[in-house]
Amino acid sequence: MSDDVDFHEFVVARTAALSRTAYLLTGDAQLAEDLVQTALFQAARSWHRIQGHPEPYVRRILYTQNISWWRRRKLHETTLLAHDAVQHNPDSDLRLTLEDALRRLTPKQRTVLVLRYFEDLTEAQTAQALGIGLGTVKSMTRQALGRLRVLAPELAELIGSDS
Amino acid sequence: MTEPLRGALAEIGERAPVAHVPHDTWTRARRARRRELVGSVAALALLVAGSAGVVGSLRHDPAPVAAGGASDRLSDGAIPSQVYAVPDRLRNPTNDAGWSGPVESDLAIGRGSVAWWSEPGPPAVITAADGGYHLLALPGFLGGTIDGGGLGAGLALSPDGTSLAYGWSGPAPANANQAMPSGVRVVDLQTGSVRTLALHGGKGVLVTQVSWSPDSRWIAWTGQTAVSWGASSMRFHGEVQGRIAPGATTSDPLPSSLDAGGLLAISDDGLAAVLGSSPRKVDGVFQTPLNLVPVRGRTVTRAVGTPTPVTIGNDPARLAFSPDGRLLSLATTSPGQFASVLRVSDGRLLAHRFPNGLYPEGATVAPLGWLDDTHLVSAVTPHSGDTAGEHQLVMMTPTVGRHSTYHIVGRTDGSLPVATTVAVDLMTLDKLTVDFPAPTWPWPTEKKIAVGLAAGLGAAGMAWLVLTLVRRRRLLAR
Repeated sequence: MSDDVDFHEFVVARTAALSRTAYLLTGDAQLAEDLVQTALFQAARSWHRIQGHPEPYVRRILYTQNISWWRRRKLHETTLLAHDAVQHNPDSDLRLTLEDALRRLTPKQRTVLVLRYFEDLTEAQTAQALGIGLGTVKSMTRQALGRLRVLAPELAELIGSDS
Repeated sequence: MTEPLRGALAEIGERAPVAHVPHDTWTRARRARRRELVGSVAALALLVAGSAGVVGSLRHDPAPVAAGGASDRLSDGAIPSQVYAVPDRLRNPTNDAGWSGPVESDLAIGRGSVAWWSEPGPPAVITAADGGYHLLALPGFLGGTIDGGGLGAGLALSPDGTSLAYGWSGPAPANANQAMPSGVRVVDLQTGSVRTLALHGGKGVLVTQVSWSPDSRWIAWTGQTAVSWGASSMRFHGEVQGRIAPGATTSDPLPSSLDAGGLLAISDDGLAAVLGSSPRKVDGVFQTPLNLVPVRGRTVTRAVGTPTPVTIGNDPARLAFSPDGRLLSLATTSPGQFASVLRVSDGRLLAHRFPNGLYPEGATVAPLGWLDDTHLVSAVTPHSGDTAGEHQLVMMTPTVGRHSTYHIVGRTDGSLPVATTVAVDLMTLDKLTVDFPAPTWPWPTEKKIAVGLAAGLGAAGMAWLVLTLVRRRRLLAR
């Protein structure tokens, strides 16, 4: 099967999952779309060099590119988007508070949190994906959870106590 | 513990719209790949040819990274009205543990006006006399040896701009059971000399914040004690704080019983103000303990009520004492409509409400220092609108009244950290900031080689074309 067909099949199959991760990393739908488009473009450019399944390569671009971008882009107003329909769920207030608290983490803290608790990577896998030390992953995770506890004490049920 | 968090993150992710991927992504990407290949072949060809222009491009970039553009040097120095971020291309780490931009080892650059550090990259200082930008190789600077990622690395310019204090560490001891050498260093920017203060505790002390007294004599610091600290990994436990007397070579620890949240200020007589890290909501208002620790005598604790917790986003925000020690300017977290100042004598909060309509969605405030006892200087960051994200340098009075003022006197690129420090002593009511020309950023050495190669290839190509035309004319003439 030719490379372009492989690439298009990958895009169809995995864009939704990549979009979820990108949204958690950026907290903004437009930025998330930019991130996914950039990651797929770079993957296509290097497709011939990717060995095995391309998804880990693409995800690594998501993680590192978002951190690199954060330094250049300005903050802009975030508004409820059309798809953010009001959730008739007793926990809906808790979700908004978590989203707000996530925005106050550093990009690396947020990325580590998403990789550890959404992507379900181990500490070692997270360190490898981001190209940082294992100790740094551990300390960043602890700081991120600690900062969430300080910024939003209502999240104590989600985060648990400091240990 | 983590299952509820995992579930909550998953629910957030489920609301994400699926990104649109343009149908021509593959075509554009492959076209870009082909352009890269053509460029590489051209560069290789010229390298073999050995262009003389390449040799010229191998010189090291001269310091500073962006020379000051002021037509006249200002003897008294000044704060620039616009602070620019150093481009990413000059702040990337290289394979030889250096940086892609020119970094100065000679630290005698003269009085500074603005200093900051953001990863990646070395610390940056703007010189007061000419507005030049300098990237500095500070010995043992923590930001250059660890992946800060939220821990941060303490770096602060003194209010008079003559000294730079920062956290340092290393080299790692050969015996892994020994503590990592670490502490605070103070650079005299006029002589380049470095004063070293070693801090002791656990396996080393990672200094994450440094603060100066208004008279540039006392230093306060906040850090974390290491449980383990190796060349490539570290683990920390507990926060510690201390203060350094004028000219001292040792630090005095602040009481460990304090709720050390990383927010610390020090007055001209050495009084340390420590703002707690765990605000509690009481009757809808966050109550935060403020501990006032004199050099001698008992610690006094006040409960400070603020509408929101007093940390800003990802950077440890500073508190700032007024020169007479009576007032303490505070940071604000969520965007609001006022800046807060605490009256130390009774803990009363004073507020300066922002001018009507200036920040429709509110703004956050990070104190930078005081011009005098009645005018404070802060970095105000609007939350939305055309200026959202940039940090405005604002001079204001603590409250609004008949003789109050709110004056935006400068701007800082929004990508710079909130923990940027400013030599506020350089500001007067007659000369708040000065317009320096925008810096001209150099290209890294590798880029100069590529440009040299491209220029050489162009010249070679032109020469070949001319030669071909000449030969063709000669053939036609026969």
